[in-house]
Amino acid sequence: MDWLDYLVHFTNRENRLETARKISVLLNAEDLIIFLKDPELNVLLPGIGFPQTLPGSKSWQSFLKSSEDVIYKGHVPYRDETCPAVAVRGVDGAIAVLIGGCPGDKDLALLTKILNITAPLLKQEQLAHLAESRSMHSARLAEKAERLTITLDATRQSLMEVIKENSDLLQLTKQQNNELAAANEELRASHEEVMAGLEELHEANQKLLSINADLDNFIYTASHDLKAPISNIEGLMIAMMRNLSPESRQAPVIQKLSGLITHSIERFKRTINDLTQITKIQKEGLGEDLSQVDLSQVISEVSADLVYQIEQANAIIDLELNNCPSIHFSAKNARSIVYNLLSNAIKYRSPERRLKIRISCYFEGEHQVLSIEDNGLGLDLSNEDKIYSMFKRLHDHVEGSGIGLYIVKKIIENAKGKIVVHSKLNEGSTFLVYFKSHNSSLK
Amino acid sequence: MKRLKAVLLIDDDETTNIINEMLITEMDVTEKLFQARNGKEAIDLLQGLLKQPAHFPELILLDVNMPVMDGFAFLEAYQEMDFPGKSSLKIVMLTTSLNPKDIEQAKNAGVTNYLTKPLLEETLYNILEEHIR
Repeated sequence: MDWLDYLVHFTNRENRLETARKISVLLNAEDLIIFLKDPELNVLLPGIGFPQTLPGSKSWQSFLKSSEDVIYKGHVPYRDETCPAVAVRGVDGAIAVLIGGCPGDKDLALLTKILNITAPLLKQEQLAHLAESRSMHSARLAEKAERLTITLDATRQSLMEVIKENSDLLQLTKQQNNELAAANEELRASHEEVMAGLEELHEANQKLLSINADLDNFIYTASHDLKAPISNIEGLMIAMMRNLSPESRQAPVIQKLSGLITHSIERFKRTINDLTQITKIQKEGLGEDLSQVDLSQVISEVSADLVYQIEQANAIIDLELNNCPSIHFSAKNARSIVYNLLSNAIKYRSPERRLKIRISCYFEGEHQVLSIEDNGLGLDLSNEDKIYSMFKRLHDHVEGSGIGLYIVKKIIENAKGKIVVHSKLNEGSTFLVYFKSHNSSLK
Repeated sequence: MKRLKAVLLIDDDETTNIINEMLITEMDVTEKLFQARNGKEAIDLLQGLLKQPAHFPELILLDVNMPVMDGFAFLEAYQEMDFPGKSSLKIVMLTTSLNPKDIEQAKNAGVTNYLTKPLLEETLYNILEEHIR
């Protein structure tokens, strides 16, 4: 093959490796590697050859550094053995290295000729490649830098915000801490005060409990011990009347006196019974017989019990029991409430008009309300508290002990309910009893 | 109505005993009338009378609140006693207070009637009619 053929083939990129292999065979070498010098970086880059056989670019670089100015002939480490090698220098720092053979001077001249002509072409390609890879690299770098910048900016922004927030928070926290400390101090002081107050309250409570117990005991004993002599007086009165002669017994003055004595005895006994009842209510609290009580049934029963009084008064009783619920209550106490309110309505009727009583129920918030409305005498509510006082009677023309409303109020308040009255003198009264709802339901 | 062999009044209240004694004497319903001021005295009296069946009480009027031995303690002690004709003896409790719990307890202890003081002629008459005739 003529060297010109090699040259032609060398200018063709596709045949270049094959041509290089042929040249190395021609020159009795195993490998042919052509290095070109990067003018900017001043390093030698492999431009052509069999790069896969290079044991390591670093040692080649150092080998070439020492040999680039001379035509080197000697041995180099290659493929785990030491091989003969020749370095040929061309123009512009182009160097061809032949490994594994020792070509003659004529061959080397041929190689130098080819190298000198092809080197600028190879170099151009190498430089273009380098430039391309550099520009790609810098584009990637720029892109990366831009991304990093954006990320950094965002991070910095967030960081600034966080710092600002933190500093605000810190400021706020400091302020709050100060306030908290002050509040704590206040709290501690008031806690101490409360504890002292509680202690006092506890003592006062103990005293009250003791006084209450004494009072209960007193009332119980008094009522019991009063019963015995009044029963005796009653018995003695009967015995005395029995022992009078029929004439004396019939005498008007005796009749009148004995009637008054009997009446006084009755009143005395009733008062003692009332006292006993109050003590019981105080002691029992909610009542002992708590159960589901059908309010409409209680109302019907009490109305039936009072039928005589209702007839006497010629009263119109209007029972609207549709909404009257079943309540969780003491049956006895529920009866007592209805009895007292209904019998009061009958007792305190107006002589000027026919008595009308309306009993109904409705719901209001968490309460079931029993309403007993009459068109009777009415009450002066300027002393509302008085109407619920023990033994306080606002009307004295009718028989009564003044205990009924006291008992009603006591019972309903013990059961966490309340009683409310609306009234106008000479028009009538409405008593509203608020039963606290438990799990009761509409009937 | 037949007359009773004897009646026993158990009460610490002297006046009550006087009233009841007057009433029973006037009604003339018994041969004999005994009195005891508490449950203990009554038990002792009844023990002594076991030997004289002709004068053994057929009716007892019993108070509840008494010193030494009260009405309920008396009933317990009485339930321990055993003598012929015990079932024909009627016990009527006579007290000032009508406590439902006391009434229940009295019924369980075999009391025939539970009355509030004072004892009235009509009431006593009814009891005698109902239980003793």
